[in-house]
Amino acid sequence: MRRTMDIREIQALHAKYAAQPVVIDINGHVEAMPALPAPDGNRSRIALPRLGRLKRLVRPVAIAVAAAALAAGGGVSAAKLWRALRAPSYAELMHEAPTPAPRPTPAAASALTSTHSLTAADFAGSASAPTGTLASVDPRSLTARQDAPSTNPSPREQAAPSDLDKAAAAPIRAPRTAPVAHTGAPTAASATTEPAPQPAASPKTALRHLRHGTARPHAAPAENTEPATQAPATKAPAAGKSGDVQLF
Amino acid sequence: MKPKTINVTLLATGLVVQGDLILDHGMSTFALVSGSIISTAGLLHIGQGGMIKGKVQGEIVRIDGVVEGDVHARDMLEINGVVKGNVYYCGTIRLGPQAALNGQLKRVPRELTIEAPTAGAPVTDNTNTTALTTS
Repeated sequence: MRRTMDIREIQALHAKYAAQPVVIDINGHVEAMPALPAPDGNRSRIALPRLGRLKRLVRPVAIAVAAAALAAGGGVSAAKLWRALRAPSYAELMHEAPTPAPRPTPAAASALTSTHSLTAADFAGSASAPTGTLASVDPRSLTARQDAPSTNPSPREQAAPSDLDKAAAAPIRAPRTAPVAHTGAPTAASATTEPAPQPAASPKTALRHLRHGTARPHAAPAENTEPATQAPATKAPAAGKSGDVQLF
Repeated sequence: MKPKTINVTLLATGLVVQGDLILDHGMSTFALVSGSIISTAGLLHIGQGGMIKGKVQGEIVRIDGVVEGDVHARDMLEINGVVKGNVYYCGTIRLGPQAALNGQLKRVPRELTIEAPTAGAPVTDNTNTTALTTS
């Protein structure tokens, strides 16, 4: 069946296929939109301004800290420079006020110059005396040592003490010098002239003799009768052997 | 916003046109046209009772009548009539219950829907449909 279309239907048909321009009215849509819902937690709203304030404060604080650090560093450096510039140098001090060189004690000197090792006989004579450092020093040797430089001071003694002399003057070496001073053999002149490395090379032997001497105090009187001129190098091993046998 | 006015050319029944028609808007024809119709925009509507003896080219083509020639649709093609010729379309095609195609059907690029291919050009799709009669 044939059916004709009226003008309205034709217009509607063309309007149906007509490409209508699409205009997006953003402002109208935004105005038509309802208000956004409030966020669940108000904490974030409050925290954000606080963080903003903190962020604003971080920079000045960091600058202040950096300035303080720079000032402190500069002050320390200035103080170091001031001390370095104002303080007299070591050479000036030595030139203005030359201090007398500390002389090694007679005990140290004798320890430096002693050529023979200690024996049990050396400690047997001082068994009743106190074992202190000063007590084992013979006052006669001190007086003899002090008189000698005043009469004839050598240029080497007036010079500044070396490290080796300072080490020799330490109290730790004093007990070994007591028996030597007791014998009265070394003098001040010989102490300065003889080489020092000899006593420093035999600390173990001295400690061993000391142990043997304390282990058998009753054997000392018999050895005291031996002549002092006997060679100490040969005498010490014999005493050590006899002490070992008695200990067994 | 002011609605855009739609220009439509209407060829009513009882009209016979000898020659080609070129339009920049839509057209509805119920007349007898012996020539080609080229529409660059809008709907090219071949109404029921209308007959076109020539080529039909348009953006949106709706055929409810009879077309004896090739049909080129650049955007959309709806056929609920009789087409005796090849059909080239780009976009979508819809076949109604009254559609009767006697030719080749090919989907081509948009630019080829303007210029008709030469005779003997390969056409892959070949569809022959018979209009379903509805009382």
